[in-house]
Amino acid sequence: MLQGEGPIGVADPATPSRNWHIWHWAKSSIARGGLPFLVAIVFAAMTLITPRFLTVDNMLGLALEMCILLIVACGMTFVILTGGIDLSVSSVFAFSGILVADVLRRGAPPLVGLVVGLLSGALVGWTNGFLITKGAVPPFISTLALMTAARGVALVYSKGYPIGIPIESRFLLLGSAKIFGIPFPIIVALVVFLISYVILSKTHFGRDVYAVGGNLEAARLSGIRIHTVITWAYVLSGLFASVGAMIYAARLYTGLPSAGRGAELNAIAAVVLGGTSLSGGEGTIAGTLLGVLLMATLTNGMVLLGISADFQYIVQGAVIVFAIQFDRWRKKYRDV
Amino acid sequence: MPDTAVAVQPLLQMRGITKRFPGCTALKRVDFSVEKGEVHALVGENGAGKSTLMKVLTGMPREEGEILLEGKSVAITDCREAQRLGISLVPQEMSLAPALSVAENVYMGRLPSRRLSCLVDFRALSENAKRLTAQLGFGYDVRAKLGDLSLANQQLVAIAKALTANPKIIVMDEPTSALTQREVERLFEVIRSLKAQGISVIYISHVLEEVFRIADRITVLRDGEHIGTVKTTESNKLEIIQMMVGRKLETLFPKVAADVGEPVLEVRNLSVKGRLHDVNLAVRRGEIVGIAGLLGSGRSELLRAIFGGDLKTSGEVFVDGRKVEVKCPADGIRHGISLVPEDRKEQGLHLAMNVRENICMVRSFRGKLGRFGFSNVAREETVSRRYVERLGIRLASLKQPVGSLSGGNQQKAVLGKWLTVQPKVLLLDEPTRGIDVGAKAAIHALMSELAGQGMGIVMASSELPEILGMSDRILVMSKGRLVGEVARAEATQERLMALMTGGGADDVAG
Repeated sequence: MLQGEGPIGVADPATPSRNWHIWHWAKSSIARGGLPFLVAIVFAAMTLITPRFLTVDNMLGLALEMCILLIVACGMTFVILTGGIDLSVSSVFAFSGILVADVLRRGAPPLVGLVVGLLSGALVGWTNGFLITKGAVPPFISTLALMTAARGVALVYSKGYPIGIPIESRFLLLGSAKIFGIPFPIIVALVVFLISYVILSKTHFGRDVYAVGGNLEAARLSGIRIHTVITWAYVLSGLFASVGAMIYAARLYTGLPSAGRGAELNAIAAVVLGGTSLSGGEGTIAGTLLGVLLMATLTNGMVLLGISADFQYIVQGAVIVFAIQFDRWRKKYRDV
Repeated sequence: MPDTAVAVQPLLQMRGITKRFPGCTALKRVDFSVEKGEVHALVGENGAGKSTLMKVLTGMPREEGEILLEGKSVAITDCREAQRLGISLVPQEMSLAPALSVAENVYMGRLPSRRLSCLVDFRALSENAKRLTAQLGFGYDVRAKLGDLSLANQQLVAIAKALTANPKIIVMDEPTSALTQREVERLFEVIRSLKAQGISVIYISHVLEEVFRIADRITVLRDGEHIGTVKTTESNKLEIIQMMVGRKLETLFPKVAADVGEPVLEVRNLSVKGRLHDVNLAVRRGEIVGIAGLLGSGRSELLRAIFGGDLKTSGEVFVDGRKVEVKCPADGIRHGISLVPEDRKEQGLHLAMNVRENICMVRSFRGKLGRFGFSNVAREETVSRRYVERLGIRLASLKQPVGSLSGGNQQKAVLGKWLTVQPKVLLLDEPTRGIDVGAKAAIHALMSELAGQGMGIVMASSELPEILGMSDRILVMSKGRLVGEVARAEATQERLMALMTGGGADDVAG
C-alpha cells in the first residue's frame, strides 16, 4: 500500500547527488500536497496493481461503499471540532433502523418512516448534548452510555430479531433508486457533505463550532451560547447517523438490532485521518472526505486483491498510525 | 552576635545569579544568602523574580552565577539533586495527588518497600508518615485521602513531604495564600519548630504583615534585581514597601482629563461565594477607575462577575441607572459591558483562528453583520480592517492566525474585538501585561481617547505605575473586599501598597 514511497525510498538523502534532488523534490511536493497527494498515491498504486480497480463498476461500488461512512463522518466532524467525541453513532444504526423498519412494517407511508428515523437519530444526539452540557458528563462517557443504551433499546424492542421492511415499500428506493445512473445513496451523501460544508464554512453556527473547540472559555466570554452550540453538534451527528442508518436498512430491506457495530471507530478514524484535531477547533470537512476516501480506497483495493477481511483490519490500523505520523511530519516540514 | 575568630559561613550563598528568558532578563546578578536555622523572607511585587530565584536554586539552568552550600560550590541540575543536597521546595501550587492517602503523598517517589520486593511496605509507610506528621502537629489519620483534607492540612502534608528528604533548607512559595488566619498561625508554629531544629526556611510572600512576624531577615527583589537585605528587627513596613516599589513614576501614561458625567455603571453588594464580599462601586462616563490589589485579591473576579463571566451569588448591577440582569457573558454584552480578560491566550483569543475571525468573534456583533445565520466575510473584513487601522495592529494579512502576532498586537486584537460592540462600560483586566513599551503606550492612549468619548472604564492591574498613571480614582482590593478608595491626587505607590498588603494607610503615614 505504500508503493508510492518506493522510488523515494531508494534515494540516499545523505549524498547531495541527483538522487538527493529528486528526494528533496519529492519530499517537498508531498509536504505541500498533503493528504490529497497521499490519496492520489494510493489510488495510482491500486490502479497499477489491479486492472479491476479503475473501472466504472468498481468506482461506483467504491462510492457506494463510501457514502454511509461519509455521512456518519460528516456528523462526527462537527462533534470532534467542538472538542468532543460521539461513540453513540453506531447504535443509532440499530435504534433508528429498528424503529423505521417497524413503522414501515405496520404500514406507515415512507415519509413517516423517514421522519421517525431522523427524529430518533436527533433524539439520541440531543440526549448526548443534554448530558454533556447540563449534566457536565464528559462526552466520552455520555456517548458511551448512549451507545450502550440505544443498542439495548433496539434489542429489547426487536427481541433480538431483524425486522423486515415490506418489499413493496417505496422507502427502499432510498437504497436502490438511481438518478441519471447515479445510485441515490451517493447523492444523499453528497448532499450531506455539501450541507456540512456550507454550515461549517459559511454560517455563524459553523464559526461557533470552531470557536467552542478552539478555546471554550474565550468562546463563552465572547457571548457564544456554548451549550447550545455543543448540543446542536451532537444533534447533527445523531441526525446524520440516522440518515446513514436508513440507507443501510433500505439496502438490506431490514432493520437489524446488530447494525453498525464499529461504525463509530471508522468514522472517528476517517475524521482524524482528514486532519481534524481530536482536541477540537481545527479541521475541515474536505479533510474528512479525503479521510473517508483513503479508507474506502484501501478497503476496496484489498477486497479486489483478495486479502482476507481479518487481515484488512491490521492494514487499516497501520494506515491510521502512518497517516497521523505523516500529517505531523508534513506540518513540521512545511513550517520549516 | 559575638565576634569569633572563625568566619561564620552562611549555610547557603547564591552569588551573581543571572537568568534570562526570551525577551526579558528575569534575574540580574542577584546575591542571596541564608544562615543556618534562619527564616529568611523573600519579598517583591509580582514578577520581581522571587519564584525564578528559587527555581534556579532547585535546578533551573541559569546564565551566570554560582551556588555555594556550606561554603562549597555545588552544581544543582534538577530538584532531585537539590533535595539530595538538602534543599526542599514546597511549591506554590499544590503538587500533590488528591486521590492518594496522606502517607502516600508524603512519601511519593520514595515509598518504602520490603527487601527484595517491589511491593510497597504499607505498615512502614504508615508508621513513618505518622511519626513525621506528628512532628508537625497534624492530628489526622495518615491513611485518609488527601483530597478530603482542608487546604491548610494539605499544606502541612506538602511540608511533611519536603521534610522526608531531611532538608537543611525548606523553600515555601506563598504558603499562606490559601489559608485562613487561624491556619496561618498553625503554619507559623510549624515554621518556628523547624527553626528550632536548625532547619532554615526561605519564606516567599508579599503579605508584609506575616513577613514581619515570622522572618529574621528580609530580602527585597525588584524587576529581577537584589535591592537589599535587612534584619526584620531593624526595619519597618514602610522601608520595605519603598524598596519594593522604588521606581519612579514613568511618564508613559498619558491620561487626559475628561469631562466626568453621569454614573454609567453601578454595582451594589456584589458577592461571589468565597471570592468576593459585598463590593460596591460606581463608574461615571469618561472616568477611568483603577483597581489595585495583589494576586488573588479578587480584582479579576470582580470584573468577571460584573460582566457575567462568573456567576454572582448576590448583588445588583446598574447600567445607565437601570438595573440589568447579568447571568452570562451574552447578557453583559447586551447591556453594553465589555471585558478584556486577564489572559489573552487562554481567555481572550482563538489563537488558531485568523485576525478577522477573532475581531468579529463577539456573537451578537457577528450575527448582525450577516443575514439568515450566514456569515458575511466581506463585511467582517471591512470592519476588521477598520479596527486594525484604528488600533495600529501590525500584521501581514487579516487571514493570518492571531497566534502568529506579537503579544502587543494580540492584545490590541482583543481590544478591537471588544470595541466592535461599542460598549458603554469597558472592563480591562491587566490590559498591558507582558507587552512591549510601544504597544503599552498605544493602549494607554486609546484608553484616554475612549474615556474622552464618554465610555466608563474600569482597569484592574498589578502594575502600580500603570494604575497611578491612568486612573482618575483608585479602588484597592484585598481578600475579596474593597479595602480603600484613593483619589488620583492623593495616590502614591506606598499608600496603595500599604492598603494592598493589609496594613492600613495610617500605618505607613505614622
